[in-house]
Amino acid sequence: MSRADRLLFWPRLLFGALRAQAAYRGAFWLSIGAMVLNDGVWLVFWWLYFSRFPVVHGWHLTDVAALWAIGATAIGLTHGLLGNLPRLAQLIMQGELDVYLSLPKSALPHLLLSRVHVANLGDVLFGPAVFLLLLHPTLVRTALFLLAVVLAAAIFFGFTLVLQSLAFFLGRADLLAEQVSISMITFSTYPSPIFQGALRLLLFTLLPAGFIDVMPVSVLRAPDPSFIAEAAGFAVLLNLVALFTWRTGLRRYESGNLFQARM
Amino acid sequence: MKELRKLAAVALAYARSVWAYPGAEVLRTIFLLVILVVFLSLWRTTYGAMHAARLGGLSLAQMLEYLVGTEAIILSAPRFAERIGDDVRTGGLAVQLTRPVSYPLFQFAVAAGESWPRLLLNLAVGSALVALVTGTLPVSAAGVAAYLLAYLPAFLLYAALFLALALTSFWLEDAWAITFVASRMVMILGGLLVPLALFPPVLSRIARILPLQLMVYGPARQLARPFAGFPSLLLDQAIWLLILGGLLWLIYRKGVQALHVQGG
Amino acid sequence: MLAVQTERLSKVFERREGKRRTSHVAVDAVDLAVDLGEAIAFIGPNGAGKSTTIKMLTGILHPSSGEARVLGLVPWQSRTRLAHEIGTVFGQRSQLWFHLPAGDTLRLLGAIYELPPALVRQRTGELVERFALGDLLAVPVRKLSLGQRMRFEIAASLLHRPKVLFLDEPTVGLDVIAKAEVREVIREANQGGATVFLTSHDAGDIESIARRAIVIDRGRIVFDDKVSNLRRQWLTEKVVELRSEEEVEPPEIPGVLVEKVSRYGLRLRFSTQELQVRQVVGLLLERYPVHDITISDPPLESVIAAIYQGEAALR
Repeated sequence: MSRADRLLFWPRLLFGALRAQAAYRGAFWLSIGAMVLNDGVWLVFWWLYFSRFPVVHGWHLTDVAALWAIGATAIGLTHGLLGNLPRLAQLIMQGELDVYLSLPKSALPHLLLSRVHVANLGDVLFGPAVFLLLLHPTLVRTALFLLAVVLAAAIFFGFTLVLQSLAFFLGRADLLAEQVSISMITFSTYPSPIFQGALRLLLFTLLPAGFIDVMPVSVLRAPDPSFIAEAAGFAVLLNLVALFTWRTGLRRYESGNLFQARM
Repeated sequence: MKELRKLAAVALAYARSVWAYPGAEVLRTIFLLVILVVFLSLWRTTYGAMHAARLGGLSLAQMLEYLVGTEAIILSAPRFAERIGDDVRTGGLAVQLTRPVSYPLFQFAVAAGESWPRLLLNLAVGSALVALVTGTLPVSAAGVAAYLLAYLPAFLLYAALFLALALTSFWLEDAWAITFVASRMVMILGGLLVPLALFPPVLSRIARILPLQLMVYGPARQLARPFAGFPSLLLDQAIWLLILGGLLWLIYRKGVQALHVQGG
Repeated sequence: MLAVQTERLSKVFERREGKRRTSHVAVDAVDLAVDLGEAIAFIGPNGAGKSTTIKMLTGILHPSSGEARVLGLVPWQSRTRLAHEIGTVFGQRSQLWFHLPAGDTLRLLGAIYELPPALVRQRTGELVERFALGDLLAVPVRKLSLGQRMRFEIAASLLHRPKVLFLDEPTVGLDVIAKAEVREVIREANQGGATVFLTSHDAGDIESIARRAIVIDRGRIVFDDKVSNLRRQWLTEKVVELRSEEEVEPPEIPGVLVEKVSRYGLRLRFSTQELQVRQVVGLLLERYPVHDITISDPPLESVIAAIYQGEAALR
């Protein structure tokens, strides 16, 4: 079997995961539609807000729309296409890694590409649609949008992987991971200037939603090379930490043994 | 009377199960705190930029307390779609239907048992945070009393609507999407994030016609203005309760018939 | 090279309950040696360490201490390399894609094991014929019966012709016919050279597949010998069947349990720790005009049941 065949395995796996979820066609499209609508409702909220208070610290409605376009696409890619990422803690607790660990493929990509989370696929549609329809896509702006999406997705991915991998060490970490994850996503959908002081520090360190909040201005509207370099550096570091956490955790993996069931 | 005692026992059992895991309940308030911190940041900026002490008649502390009032309701709201979807998929529904208690009323009791303790916890934690960051006690005893009195019918309205939607899983594979969309409608038209008073006139008029604001905006505004427009709020709630209750009853009856046809 | 070899293999699970730390020794210094081509039954009460041991041997769990080699590889260090050479069935966990036809999963597994598509088709054809699954390849797994699903699980684990098969409860929940088929296929794989490492509650599985039994209790190996010896040595009980020339009344001998009474026959059971065989037989010969008498060990089924309940101790 050639190297190309081996690489082709991963897209095939993802395609299989998509087909498995699309088995119920009606529910599939309904879920996607519901999520698109959800994202749309948030834009309506911001339209309401800006119709009353036109400018917040130099931010306009289009900047918030850009924030949603970038954030939704990144979330869709990391939590939608990699549907097992946000439920990793649960899988670890229930010993569901056994099947992946007994097969001759790298366990993390195998597991991540084995399930799509349908609702978040709506985000993958919503984000680019908002960008294309409302945010004047030129060639340069499209490239910058894609750059922002890649950076944001990398930050979401690394953050979620660290968080979910805590289940290896803490046992019951699913509820904690879920709450912190929602918090991160929530913080990543508001204009950066409203967060000040200690909170701002938090958002550029432990709960790195701050990087995403800045992107509509510092990547898309007025590209700032030093911010882009910082965000990229942070994303790389975060993902190294995440992989280290995952690997260390895997050595402590306890599978779904009887002892655990009693807790 | 006997029926009522049964339902009270169910509600109490589920209320107890909420308090059986205090750690989990505390974790659940994380999201409430996050949303409050976010909106504190947003409103503080907005009040500053507008050089205003009051917006829509509310001070910053009152605006945040309004948000505590709405989020307390929504974050403690029952999640029928998941529970009933599971009942349908696992076949547990058949067992439930044979019990000597009405299925919809049983679900109401379960929801009340789980929601009410959580509402109180959310209200307490949220108000404490607002008091802490603004330095003022944002609410009076009369405000809390009016809020809780208006919450009761608001809860019944919310439960009737969402139970009716969740019962569509008797026909559909999954009622998640439809209830999710409805919850977003509550979010925007119910005044979850922004009080109706701050809406553009057209949207405000639409929102006032719909029952969604009676579930969220109605009780939450009592916190700042105790008992203002109270009789008309209760009257509106009562009328809509009859309408949504009737709708629920209709959907339930049709649903059970559909189940009999499909053989459950 | 041995198929499986371990040396003082141990696993300790650490637990925190509130502030108290507890540790639970799941596997305690286990030494195992299994030759290539053997078929062994690995049995013991629930929680005795069977699954934990198998999971360490397949590289899923890292041990707390000790060593292990499977086909010469250290499982937790060479997990993916080893995975090419072994097959696993965890009775309670499915590797089949629930919403897709089983044929799709087999093709996907072919890609996972890096087999050429033509070979996957050929092997799938053979397995499907062997398990009589031909019509079901295109049916979504969720619509299959438990027996059909389990046959696909085992077919899936054989696709890449593994050298060692780890089977954890492969016949659980199956009907009699499906069980017989599954056993037949496992036996065939064993005859074809595959080493079989089997965990099962089912005496029929053990009797028809394994020649050697290893019993683990509280993390330690307490028996490692032929299956036939297990029957003789495990329970300290004997069963006596007696036919009389006249009608019988059941005897009242302290320590002897009357299992069955018919007009001319009796079945009795006693423990050799309390009574000696010749005592009991002597009393019976004295009392009845014996036409025929047999003394036997209890059936394997009772032995296995006793082992799983953790009741009996080794003589």
